[in-house]
Amino acid sequence: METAEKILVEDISSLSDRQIIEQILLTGKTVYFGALYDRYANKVYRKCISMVKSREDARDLTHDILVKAFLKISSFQGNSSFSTWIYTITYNHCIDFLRQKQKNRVVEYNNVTDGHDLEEVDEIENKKLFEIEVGRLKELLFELSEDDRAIILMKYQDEMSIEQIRTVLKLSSSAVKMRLKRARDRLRKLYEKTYGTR
Amino acid sequence: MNAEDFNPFKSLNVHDELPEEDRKKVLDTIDTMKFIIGVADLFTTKQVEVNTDIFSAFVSSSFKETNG
Repeated sequence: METAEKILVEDISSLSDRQIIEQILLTGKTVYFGALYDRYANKVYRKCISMVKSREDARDLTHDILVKAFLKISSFQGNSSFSTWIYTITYNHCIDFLRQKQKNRVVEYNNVTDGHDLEEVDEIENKKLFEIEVGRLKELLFELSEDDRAIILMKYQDEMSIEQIRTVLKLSSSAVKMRLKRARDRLRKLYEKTYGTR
Repeated sequence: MNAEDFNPFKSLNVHDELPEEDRKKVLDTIDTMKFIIGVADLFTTKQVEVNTDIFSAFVSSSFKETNG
């Protein structure tokens, strides 16, 4: 039995995410989900820390997110990669958690487009953000609202495209670009305010 | 790596790892959920099937009794 289980685990490690999901749906065996856990749990955990700061909260959230992912796995369409799918659950779950914690906090967002060519400024802004030292960046991110933090991480940590972010946040492309621009501006201003203008 | 290519966002929390026991917790919760769903299924979908079978058997036997 133990040997059979061992062989199974070795076999699973050679499967793609999609093949593992097919096996979960076909057999319902938890061992297959264990393989996905090994691939993604720490990544989800780190994303949760980036979102909520507290490691204890991040542990609990990771547990809930992974259980939720298993229960919803039949809804995985395969249109995106599994990583994008599970990070979508992660961001939404963390945002919900933070909103629950700070019910009174009002986050102001408008779906306004101001005519600026957002693509053009992207390159310069990215360079500025990439110059921020890691320790400082970590602190600054927690000064932002959960929505700003999430969109910044999606863009610069997960390297999601506008289209992918649009799907996660259920917004139009222009609204995503605008939110991203504002979040980036706020992060940059915060950096300048905290560490001086450069 | 070229300094220009460095992305600090990629270096956030890279050394943080979940404790080993969390893996067991997640998989145990999933097993419990599967069990609960299985039991719920037993008393919903499968119960309807059983009820239908019993009802069919009852109707069939009543029919036989009535028509000799």
